[in-house]
Amino acid sequence: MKNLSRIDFRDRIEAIARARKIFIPHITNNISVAFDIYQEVLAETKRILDLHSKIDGDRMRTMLDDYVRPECPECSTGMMLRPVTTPKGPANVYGYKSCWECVECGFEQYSFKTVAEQIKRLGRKPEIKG
Amino acid sequence: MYVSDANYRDQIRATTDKGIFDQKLQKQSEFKKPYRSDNFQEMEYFYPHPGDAVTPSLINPEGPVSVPDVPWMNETVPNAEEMPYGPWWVAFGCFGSGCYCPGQTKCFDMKCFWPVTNVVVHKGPGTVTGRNYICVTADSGATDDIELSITMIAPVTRKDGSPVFGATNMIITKCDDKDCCDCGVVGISYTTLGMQVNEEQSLSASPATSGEECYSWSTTMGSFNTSIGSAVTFTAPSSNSNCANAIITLNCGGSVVDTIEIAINADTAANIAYVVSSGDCAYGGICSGDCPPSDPVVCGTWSFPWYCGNWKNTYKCDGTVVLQGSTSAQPCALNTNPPNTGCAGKTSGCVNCGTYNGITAGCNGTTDVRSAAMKANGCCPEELI
Repeated sequence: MKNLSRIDFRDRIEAIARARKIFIPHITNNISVAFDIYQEVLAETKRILDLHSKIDGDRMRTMLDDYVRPECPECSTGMMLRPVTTPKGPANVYGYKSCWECVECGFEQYSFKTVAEQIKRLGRKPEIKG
Repeated sequence: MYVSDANYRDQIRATTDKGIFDQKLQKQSEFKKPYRSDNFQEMEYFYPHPGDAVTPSLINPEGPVSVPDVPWMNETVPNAEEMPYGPWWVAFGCFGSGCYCPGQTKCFDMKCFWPVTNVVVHKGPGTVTGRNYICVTADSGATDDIELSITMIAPVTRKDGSPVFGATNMIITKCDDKDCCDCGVVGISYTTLGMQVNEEQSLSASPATSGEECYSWSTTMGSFNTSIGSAVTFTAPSSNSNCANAIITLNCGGSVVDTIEIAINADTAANIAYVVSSGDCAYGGICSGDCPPSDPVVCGTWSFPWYCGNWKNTYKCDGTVVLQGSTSAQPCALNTNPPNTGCAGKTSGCVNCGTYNGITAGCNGTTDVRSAAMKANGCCPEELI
């Protein structure tokens, strides 16, 4: 199965919002049922009815999900990138501009590179076909 | 005889330290030669004698066995006939709290009075391996009890020197279904990670390879129609001030196997909650990657004629689109190398993408533009989890 990209996720959010507007609460109060009917009757694009947390993700995709994330040296989980917005000064003595963080174990790796520079260094994920 | 105030009869009934030691053989293979066996492995099967737990009902099926009795006397106890049972009767028994799961192999510890030499299935739908840590593999769909026959060797010999074997049976019953969970890699199947207050959503465990009673659900907010089962209906709470959101946990066989967070939105006003931006430096097209070295003029200048063409979608709290459009052109942060010197060390990119409909947002990705009042009112879009 092809993993959902952030574009797919956003398209799905918009489609679900439309399904909600049309069918809830007039026809059903269950968004799963509403989306099922929407896809059956009105949808212009085929979409998966049920997503799987282990396959499609348990959170909204971000731009970084299109790239191969570096692994956490402590627990090997794919790390997440955040910008360091505090300017160089007493609260950011070295002037770091970004930080890789592990959501599993809390490992942090600060960098002088900006988020854009970090992204340019990452390799794009190969598209999974299936 | 030792000096004691007790009469001879009481003394002869008392258990000596040596007797206890001889009965309770410990794991001392490093320090003691194998006892009644060819190897140390066998010796470690000499488990502590359960002592008083021996009951007369577990009598050696081979019948009474004459043994060398109390070692320090080296002769038969004079009043042997008056004792209910004694060292010349060897009991065989085992203790274990095992059960089986149909179609699975399930293992458990088994404590026996004496070293186990063999365990076989006497009757029932399955097979067994091991001796003191035994594993029972039951047939698929099995419901009947599995009866094991356990053979042991007692740490005594008959007067003719022959070993004393004995056997006992153990009944292995089918486990409760909740104890037979074969969860594997299971996750939560869902429709959306964003719901409105009071809305329902169908959730399921996938793949659900075990029985319904193996799966249980819990949540920090909202409720389920049932907490047990592979498929449930989740109902969002009636409010969600400051976006606490619902964290839903799936358990299988008593262990957490997956967790998802669902944003619960309570705000249906038309205010813009977030902006999704996309774009890049453009000059008759999209500039991909670094500043193109094929254009020495562009690479030697900055700003004109390259601009950030930035596309923006604005969304309400519930994820519906409010407005779509592009910002006014803004200069790109192109390289500032001298003319005709190429792009080495410089990159293109939008650093300022202007405003759209009065809203300032980033050049790429999602920008949260909610006010504190909107969050307090429960404006919690899925995209901003």
